[in-house]
Amino acid sequence: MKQRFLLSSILVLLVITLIRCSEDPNPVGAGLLPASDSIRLDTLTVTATGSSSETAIPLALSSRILIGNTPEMEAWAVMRFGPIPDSILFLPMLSAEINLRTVYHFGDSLAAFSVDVHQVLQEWGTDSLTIDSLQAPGFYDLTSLTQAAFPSVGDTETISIPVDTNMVRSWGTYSDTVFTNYGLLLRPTNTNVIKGFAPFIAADATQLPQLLMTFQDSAGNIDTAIVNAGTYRYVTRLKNTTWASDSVRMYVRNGVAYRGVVAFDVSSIPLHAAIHKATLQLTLDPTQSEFNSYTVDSTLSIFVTDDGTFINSINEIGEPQQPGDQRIYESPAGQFVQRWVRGTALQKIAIAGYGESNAVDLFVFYGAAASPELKPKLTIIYSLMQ
Amino acid sequence: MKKAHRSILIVLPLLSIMLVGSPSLTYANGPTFSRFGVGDLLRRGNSRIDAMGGAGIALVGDGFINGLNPAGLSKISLTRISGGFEYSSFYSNDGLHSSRYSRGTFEGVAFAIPIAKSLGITMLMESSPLSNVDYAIEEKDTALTQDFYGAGGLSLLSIGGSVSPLKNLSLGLKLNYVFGRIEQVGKFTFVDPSFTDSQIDRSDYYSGFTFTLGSIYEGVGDLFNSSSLDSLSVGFVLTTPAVLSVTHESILTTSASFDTTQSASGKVDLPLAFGVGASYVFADRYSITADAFLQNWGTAKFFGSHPAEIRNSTRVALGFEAMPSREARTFWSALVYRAGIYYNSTYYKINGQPIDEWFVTGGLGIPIGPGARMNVGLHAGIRGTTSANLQRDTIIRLSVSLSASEAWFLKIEED
Repeated sequence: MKQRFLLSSILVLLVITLIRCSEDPNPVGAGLLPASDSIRLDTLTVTATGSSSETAIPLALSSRILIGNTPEMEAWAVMRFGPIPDSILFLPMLSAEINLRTVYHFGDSLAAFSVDVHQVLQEWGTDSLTIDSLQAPGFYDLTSLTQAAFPSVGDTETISIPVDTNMVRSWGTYSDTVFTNYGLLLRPTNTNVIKGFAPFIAADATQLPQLLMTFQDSAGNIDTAIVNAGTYRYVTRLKNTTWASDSVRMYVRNGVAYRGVVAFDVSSIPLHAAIHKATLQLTLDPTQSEFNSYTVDSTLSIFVTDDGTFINSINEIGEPQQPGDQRIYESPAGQFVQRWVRGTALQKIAIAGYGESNAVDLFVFYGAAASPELKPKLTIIYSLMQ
Repeated sequence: MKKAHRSILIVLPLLSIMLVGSPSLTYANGPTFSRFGVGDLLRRGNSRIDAMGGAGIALVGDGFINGLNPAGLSKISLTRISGGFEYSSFYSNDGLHSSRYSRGTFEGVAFAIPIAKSLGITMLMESSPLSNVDYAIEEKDTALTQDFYGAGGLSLLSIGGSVSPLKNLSLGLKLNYVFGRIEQVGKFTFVDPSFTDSQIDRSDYYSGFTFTLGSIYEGVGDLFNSSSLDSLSVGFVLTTPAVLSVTHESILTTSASFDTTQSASGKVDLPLAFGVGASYVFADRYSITADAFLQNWGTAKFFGSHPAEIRNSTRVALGFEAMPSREARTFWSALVYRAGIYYNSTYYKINGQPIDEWFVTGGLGIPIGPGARMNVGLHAGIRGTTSANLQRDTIIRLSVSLSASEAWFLKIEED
């Protein structure tokens, strides 16, 4: 009995002392810690050691189909509508037209717009087509099927372009096993505006491109059929390529995937440093840049590998700041610098416009050869813990 | 009762394997001192000795396993096992803040197997913690929160034994394998979300060997031809220095990267330690013990340099024990009562300030069967100072251990 009492007393004492104890870190005894345990932040500011402008990979899927010409660039498009229903296989086709809804322009919004429609003769892919392959002999029938011209097209209008019914017939229907539909080439013939049209992936179904066909059935009734699914791609080309020789400025042209590349030297940061923050600052030359109301006023900083490949998935968004008279685009760059410190030899960042796939704006930034206050700048806050 | 003994004999080794050998580390909390050196050094004789202020270098006897001095095993007559658990409560105050912590630690387990009683030959196998690292500190300002954690410690696996080559003289030897992992973590969290947080995780993996040599001489009375000194025994113990091999690894983690920033091998000195003790028994029931123990940390090198926070350590202790009388019939009169006091000039010297500790101890030995005893010990003391930006800990330790014997490995004479 007494043994039990004693053991119970010990257990009670244990329970009482176990309670009311701190489990979380607290400041008691912080004064004992050596200074080397605490983090020490250092800041390094470097300016660009080099800058250039380079053509990047072909554009990815766009939310606009761009077609047109400006004095600086041209934009051609190819479109392939989906198969025509079998139900109208034997009905006489009275007419066919494509309807495109405008959603964008770059250049003179009041300028005339015109386009020639050609039949494409070869297979093509949305991820590999370039303007060179598009203009190669045999890619499309040089004889245009239609020449459409419009004195001026607003940004919320639908334009209709007639197409040859025999060509549409030649595309076959759903049940066909032999594939002959390579689509249409829309080659701009205007001079001062690039128009953007809603693509097959538009969220608003009323804005989708349409292939509108009219038929006459055996009873003489006129009927219509619409195909609004398909694939598309636009490709662009700069008419003036003298930018590459300009070391004072760095050109970033949307639409053509013409990107700026800025190089830094951060070798003074110790190996294995932790990068807590890095900010890339690019100063805009507003006199050279070309924006309009559709411009997405942001940039995309993109990691560049040792072999010069742009890794689009490793990116940061740059936003404009306006300290005084200058317009400076600031972008986080910590993940880039962290990779450089870990051993990436090529310390470069590619700069693209945020709307690179959907517009043809031009950002002109000061480059490495500009005056010191205008050069691209990288401010890095880091610590070294080992 | 024999069943109970067997249960103890099975359960304690299993606990030993689980708790001492477990590689996993958890962060609890505790005073900051263990940030330095190899952490808080744990010097455990066993709970009997601990309750007497830790003075027991000269203790020799049948009813316990002397963890301080292997020579103290020479009079063990039956296979004995002991093991225990200690609960510690800390109240820490640095002059600005205070906090209370608690932790439970396994005290280790030991087997002593008598081989030849007449020669005092006893074999020992032992597993015990040598040091403990356990702290969690937070420094916070308007821009940054820095959390520092420490966990782990060193452990010992020992094998050894005792022998009595001469009447009144016992000698002992232990081979100790020292091993363990000490982990220190710094976690840095910025208030500004545009900053990338980081965490540095440093781990040191230790391993090495030491020897512990001990002797106890019980013939002081004969030596000085004084019957009043017949019950005086003196002891000496020495643990050889060792150079521990240490593998150091640092891993830096941020939200953007995971990087092994350092992976290196080095050496850490585990310096020479020695102690002397005396024990005097009077009136057949009462004993007084006294120890002095020193360890030469003052020149110990960690990765090639001597840390400023480490110095020589000295520990002096005095203990008292009252055994029950042979005629004890009641429960209370059958208890063993123990008390002690010790002063420890620890091996810490932080911010130029030596860190010392004072403790008073007490305990009971509760008989739970033939040859078996549950020992309960209570220690209360203070460590450190709030001057020089340091902290003072008020520490209470409660230990519970079991010690039991069994007639294993002995030849039974047949009629």
